[in-house]
Amino acid sequence: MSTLTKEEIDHLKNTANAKALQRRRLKTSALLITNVIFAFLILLPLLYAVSIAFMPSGELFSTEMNLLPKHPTLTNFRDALQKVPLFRFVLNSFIVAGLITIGQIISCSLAAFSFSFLNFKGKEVLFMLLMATMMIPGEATIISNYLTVSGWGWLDSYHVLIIPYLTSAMGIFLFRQFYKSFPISLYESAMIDGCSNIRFIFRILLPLTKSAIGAMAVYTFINAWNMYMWPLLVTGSQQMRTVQIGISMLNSVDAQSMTLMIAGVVIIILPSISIFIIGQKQLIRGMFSGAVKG
Amino acid sequence: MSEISLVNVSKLYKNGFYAVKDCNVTIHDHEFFMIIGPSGCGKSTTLRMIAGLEKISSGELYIDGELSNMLEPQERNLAMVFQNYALYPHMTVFDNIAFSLKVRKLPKEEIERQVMSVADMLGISALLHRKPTALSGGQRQRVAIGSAIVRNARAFLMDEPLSNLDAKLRAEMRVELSRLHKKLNATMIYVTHDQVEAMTLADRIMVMKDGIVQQVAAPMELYRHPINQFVAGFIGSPEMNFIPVKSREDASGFSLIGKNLKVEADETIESAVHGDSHNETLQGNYAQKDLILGVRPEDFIPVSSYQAADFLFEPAVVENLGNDYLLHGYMVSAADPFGISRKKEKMIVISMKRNDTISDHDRIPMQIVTEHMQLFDPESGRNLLYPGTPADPETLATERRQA
Ligand SMILES: Nc1ncnc2c1ncn2[C@@H]1O[C@H](COP(=O)(O)OP(=O)(O)O)[C@@H](O)[C@H]1O
Ligand SMILES: [Mg+2]
Repeated sequence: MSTLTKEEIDHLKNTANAKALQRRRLKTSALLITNVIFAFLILLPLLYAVSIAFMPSGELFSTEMNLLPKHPTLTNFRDALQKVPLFRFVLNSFIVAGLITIGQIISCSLAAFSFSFLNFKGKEVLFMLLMATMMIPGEATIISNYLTVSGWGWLDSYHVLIIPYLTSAMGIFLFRQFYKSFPISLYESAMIDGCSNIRFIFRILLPLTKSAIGAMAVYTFINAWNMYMWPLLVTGSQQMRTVQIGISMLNSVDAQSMTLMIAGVVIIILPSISIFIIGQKQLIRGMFSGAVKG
Repeated sequence: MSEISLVNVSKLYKNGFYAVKDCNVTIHDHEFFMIIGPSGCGKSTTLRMIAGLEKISSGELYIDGELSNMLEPQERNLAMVFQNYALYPHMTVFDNIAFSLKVRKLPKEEIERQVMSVADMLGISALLHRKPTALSGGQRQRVAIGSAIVRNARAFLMDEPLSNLDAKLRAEMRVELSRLHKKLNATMIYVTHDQVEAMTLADRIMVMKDGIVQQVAAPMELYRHPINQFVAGFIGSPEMNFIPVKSREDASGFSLIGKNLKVEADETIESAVHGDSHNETLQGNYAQKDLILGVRPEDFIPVSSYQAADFLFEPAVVENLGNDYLLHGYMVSAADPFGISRKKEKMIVISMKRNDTISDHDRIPMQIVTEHMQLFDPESGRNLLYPGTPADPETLATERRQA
């Protein structure tokens, strides 16, 4: 039996280490490649749309396979912006979605506060009723809502787009779920210290549920940005159109151009994608904030 | 500072469960008042009713003579330390302590001055700019206490404030709290399930069981004169020994006879058993009846002769606690010194000082210190030797209600 020298042992150790390292690298890159492939497949329609937006309109309808524009051009974007006031639409959408988001955050967090922290008669029944409203599909009430607001002479204005959406049962429900994981002793301690409910909400509850608020804000904003039926129904003038409606105006019978429309779409999805990217950390943290005790 | 009175206070939960039943007690000004009892006996509920966090189902709560049932927690001017500390995680230690002062809109310099003085008192001045997550358990505890005492509250309520700390820190904080109480000269109501805490800190202790107040008394009073078997067993560590006996009267006099034990009883015991003691309310004749003899572990004296012994003690396990020993073992009849001990019987515990040398296989003749022993009715558990008003708190409460 031969004994190993110190160098030989070191050498063996090093090769073993190197092998382990290599194996780990291989694993990571395999994982990465798989992810990239799937991400690509899922993003394909979006990427294709971006690509089309840069094609001259003649290039799209050809028998050849052309995923990428051969002669990239910006005319589609220019035409889309000239044809309809896209910036005005985007501005409208921002105003409407922004105010709806702020309104919902305030109203839903306050309502959820009373459902989670206060004790009053009929609390459970009231909450059940509220939840029951979620069962009614929006389409069922849209006509009567329309008649109501038109009776008030509200049509074709910002407030008709915003006010009906200032609160939501879903938002109240989500906030209540977030508050359930909030330690009640903090509330009790604040009460004994002489703190009022309002002060508690603004000084303690809101700062400590920032991630929940972030998640709600992103969720609400995207929903409001994507509203279609209601804005279509209650607005008539170009001045009041939101992007989702405005973009369909590019699809007029007399001048149908696929590339033009898609250029418009690409312009208007930019804001909502950027909101999502900015807010995604909050969104994910908020979604799972109740899952583990922090 | 203040006096807090509970009159027939009960808490009935929606599911029909009485967490606290007919609690009658007055907590005096400057008193360190302890509420103690096993888990789930309604201690926290009582405290939370005083704080206003829990509605009082029936009865009255008086703070400084003012009926306070309906006052909001904010209006009671009490301060409370919670078991889990309840610190605001997004605020620094300074802001946590200052919170109740800021709510009261005190001037900035005043707030600063008071927070500094409290931080100084608790030795946390160096931590004022940290967030609670960057503190150890003991430090968080100090901050929690600081936020309570910074304000001139009428009374300080504490719900098991030390139960999340390790043994060493707990002992340290016990001393600290005692010092703090003397310094602030405040009324404190303190909930715990740890009888060592209660015995060392309290001016008076209220013992609860299943929502019913058993006894309210000073620590040594509870220790020496428990009102019933529950209190006797709950207070003191290791637990009081409970030995089944029968009373017997013969030519040699009155005595208590157990399986392996014979205790000559004096007149106090005899009269208590016969029901004609100085205490008229103690009715009933317990002669020839089963009784339970209660003896604390330190109330045994080793004697030199078998004749003087009440029983022989055969140690089975010796626990060395440093300064003294705990001996766990069996009783053997002094009349039959070489008989076989009954290993199936419950062991008794005797505590001995270091200099009482013993070996662990001898049978030691033992005497019971009669002046400290207690006698319990096996059915109701009440202490026949309890001086003063009768044992049953429920009759007491009923009487008071009728009055
Ligand atoms: N909301 C409730 N509904 C019904 N029973 C409750 C409720 N809260 C507490 N209890 C019961 O009341 C009893 C006393 O509770 P508590 O005062 O917290 O006990 P502890 O003495 O351990 O502090 C317990 O048995 C508990 O199960
Ligand atoms: Mg408790």
